Amino acid sequence: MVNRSVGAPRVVLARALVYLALLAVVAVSLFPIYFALTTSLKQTRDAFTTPPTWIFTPTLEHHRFIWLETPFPRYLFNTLVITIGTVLLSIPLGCMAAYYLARYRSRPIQVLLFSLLAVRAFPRILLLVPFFLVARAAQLYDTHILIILIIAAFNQPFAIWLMRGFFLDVPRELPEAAMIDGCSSFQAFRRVVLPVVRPGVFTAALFTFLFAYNEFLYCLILTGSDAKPLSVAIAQYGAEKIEYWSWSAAGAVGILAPIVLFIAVMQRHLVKGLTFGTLKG
Amino acid sequence: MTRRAWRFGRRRGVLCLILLVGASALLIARGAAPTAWAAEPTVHYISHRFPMLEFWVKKMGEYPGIKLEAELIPFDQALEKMQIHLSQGASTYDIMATDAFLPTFAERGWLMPLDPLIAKLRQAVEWDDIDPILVRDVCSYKGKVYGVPNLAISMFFFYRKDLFDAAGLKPPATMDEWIAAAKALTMADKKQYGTAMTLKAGDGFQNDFTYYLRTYGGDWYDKDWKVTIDSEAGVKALTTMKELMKYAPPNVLAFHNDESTVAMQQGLTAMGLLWQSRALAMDNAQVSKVVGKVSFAVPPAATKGGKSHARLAVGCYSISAFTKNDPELVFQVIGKTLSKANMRESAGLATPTRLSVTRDPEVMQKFRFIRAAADNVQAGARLVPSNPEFSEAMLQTTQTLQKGLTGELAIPEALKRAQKVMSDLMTEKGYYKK
Amino acid sequence: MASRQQRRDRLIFLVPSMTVLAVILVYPLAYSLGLSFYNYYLPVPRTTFVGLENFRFILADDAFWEALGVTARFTGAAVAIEVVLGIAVALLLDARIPCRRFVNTVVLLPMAITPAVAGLLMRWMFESNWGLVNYFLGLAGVRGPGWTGDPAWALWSIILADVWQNTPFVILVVYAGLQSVPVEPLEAAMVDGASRAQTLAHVVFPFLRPLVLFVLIIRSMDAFRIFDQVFVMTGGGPGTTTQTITFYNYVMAFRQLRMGRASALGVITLLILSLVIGAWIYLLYRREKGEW
Repeated sequence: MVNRSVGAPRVVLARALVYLALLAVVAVSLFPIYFALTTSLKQTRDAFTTPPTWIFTPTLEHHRFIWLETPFPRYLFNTLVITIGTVLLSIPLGCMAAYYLARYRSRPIQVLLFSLLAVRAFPRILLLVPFFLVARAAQLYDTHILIILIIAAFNQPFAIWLMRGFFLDVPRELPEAAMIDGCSSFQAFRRVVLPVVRPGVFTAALFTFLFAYNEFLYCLILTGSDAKPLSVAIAQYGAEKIEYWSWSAAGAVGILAPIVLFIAVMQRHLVKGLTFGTLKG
Repeated sequence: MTRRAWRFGRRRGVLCLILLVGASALLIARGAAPTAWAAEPTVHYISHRFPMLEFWVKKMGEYPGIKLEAELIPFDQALEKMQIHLSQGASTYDIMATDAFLPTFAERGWLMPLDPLIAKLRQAVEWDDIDPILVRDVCSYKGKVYGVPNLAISMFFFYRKDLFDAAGLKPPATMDEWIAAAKALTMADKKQYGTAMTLKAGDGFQNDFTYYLRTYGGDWYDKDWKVTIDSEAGVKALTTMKELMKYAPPNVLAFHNDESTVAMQQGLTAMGLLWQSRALAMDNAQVSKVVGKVSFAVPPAATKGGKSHARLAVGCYSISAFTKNDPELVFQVIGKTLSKANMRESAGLATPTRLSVTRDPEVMQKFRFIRAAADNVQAGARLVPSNPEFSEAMLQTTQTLQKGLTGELAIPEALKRAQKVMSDLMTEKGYYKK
Repeated sequence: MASRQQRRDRLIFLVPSMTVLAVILVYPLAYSLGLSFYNYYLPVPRTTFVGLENFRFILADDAFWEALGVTARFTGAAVAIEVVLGIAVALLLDARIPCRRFVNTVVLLPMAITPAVAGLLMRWMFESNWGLVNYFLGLAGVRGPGWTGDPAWALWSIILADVWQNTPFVILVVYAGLQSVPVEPLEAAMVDGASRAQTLAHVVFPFLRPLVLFVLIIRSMDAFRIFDQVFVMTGGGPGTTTQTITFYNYVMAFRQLRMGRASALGVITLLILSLVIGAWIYLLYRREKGEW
């Protein structure tokens, strides 16, 4: 009894603090995005002022310009092709490899897992010139397939490590029982194991999607006017004219919008997927 | 449950697959289209992005019978792409804006000598009207022509006439007057600073520093390519810059041209050294809050009546040595794009390079800053050195010089170290062998 | 000895993925490693073998050690803040809160933004004259610093930008972990009358430990490689106060065009990272579980 009468105001206070902290976190997360959005809707003159212009008549001019008078729709299309292609190539391969690496243990496998991490650590800019040489030799410069292959390869370590965590949670008996029932090893994997780790596959696919969607450096050097994705196109309006800043803001909103929708729809899966696998190192 | 989920996943997979196949089909169709008709050659163009070049690209796209694929990207990115592609002998680009890199690229064998084309097409492109001094000084290397000048711009002094008049000030003639005027017009509590500066390491810093260095009588190199920034002029240059920084916005070390321009357009700064290509935008109400209030002058000299040497830049279009298109066609595209009519139309964006246009009083009248630009060149605005080592060492050099402004190094020490960075490279490249 | 079954599985499951990796990455990696022993100046196709000269040059180069220091400070500060903040926010989200779905979405959003775009947004936020960070500081009565233009604050602007973008990754992983904290020990703790703090310390944190380690390793590796934000926000300046290893590597490769030397720097970076991460994994995971 005594406890409760003292506790009630304290609980209320604690609750208020939690809400306040959450509000702060939400505000900080959103503010830069809010700034990009309003900047893209302001006249350039009003966009970079002190103090900031809070009230303004919105204009869609910058958005109209980049979507109708520049090849932005084509860049968006390229981004989609690259992103979907990467997911479709990377995830099946990554799942299969992760399955193997989770099922078997040996020293070479541990070494392999560690070297995969090292691939992630290598400074990527150094591979630009060799990639360019290969791309030219294979006549793949400025094609979607080149970018897809590169991103998929770079994504393998992450996909494998992530998926391996999920597969480790699957009881070994599951595929073995299926194989005793006459399934081949691949059938056991596809029909029995894969459905169980579906949330994990989903999570890995989401991360891969984001990874491909945001890739910048390789696309910058290895694409020209044919396969250039949105991320590179936005960075093209350098500095010379201040309207370019407004266009960059409009471009930023354009590249953000699908991601916002995407995260809004998928965040449950992200959390669920990771919860399921509990990310075994 | 599991079974249903799995089937659902498969259906989604199939959907994705269809999407992808559809996408590829579209792409293949698009990719195949030009080859199928094959009549129109595709001309590939690359340059940095800025209004004058955007205008040329627009005009270039109107050239009949070709398909133009233009890449306009920031300066750094354009340079990187050109260097990677050209060093591997790739025929990716036909027309390139080479500007200050023309001698470097020509030396490496990446550019096509234009003399035979000029000889053949002299009439067609009205070659003799193009300023021969620019062709000789900027677009030639070892006696051969490698480029067509497409614009000239210089940096000059922008100032707020209204604020100057109110304070009874005149545009400064000397550095000391500049410092005094900047001090008088700084009201930090009201967010008004005396002067804009462009001090971000790299070409931004280099543009400003070159002006102070040369105006105090120094230069980057002497005639034997010995580096000469560790000098009395160098000390004076950095000292003046450090003094002026007191009256500049607090983050001026991160200012590139765009930040300086915004600062001016927002009324944050009262004066500053800015590029000519920014002048027109000062009077554009879409972007500027100081319409009609900004005037232009020749930048201050070291002492009264002295010379002032701001940066001058000339743009050039070159043809790649590896082009697979007909060089005559590519040359015609460039020449016809840079026509008299087009130059007349675009004179507000940069100083034209055709004599018939620059000498036209009507054009001079129309854009008030062209006068300032002409005076500026008269007063001594000059090009920067164009040896490759200059640009290769630029970032490190200017980073080191910046440390003299932040106080991380004493000014003489910063100059000494920056000089060493540049000298080491020159030594390594064999400049001082004899 | 691998069984027949294992060998067959290896062929079916592992080989395709590894083939892609090998075809795409091994040649460029090998090329780059090889290049580190050559003097290769990009514009000149001719290369000369120089042995370990490139490595000697870099180890004697002040700028390298300076960049290493900047990178270490950046990585340490950014990752520390991200992990602490990430755990705190994840715990907050785990409480009973309204509009959970909206809040989760918003909190995770920065993670998904293209780094190059995020860098641009952050450059605007930290602009000291009209940027919003200084505007809000001004409202609170604090006169904000010059951020990206101030040698004392430039690195902090990049650290804070990175915190904004990457804390969500920590939040996501820890939050997911919290969802799967086993129920029994929690109930047992409650029955024992443990306070919330005690429950956190004795039940929840030990469970989260492997997750935090995973996040720590992934984030450290990515932070160590930071490039995009530096490129967009400061270009390494003022002076060299924000010049990280990768940025310096970029300058070597594409400004100075010393591909051989830049490759050597890449190899050195790789070695440093492998050693640090390897030691980390060895110490933490081995002791934890006896295997990894």
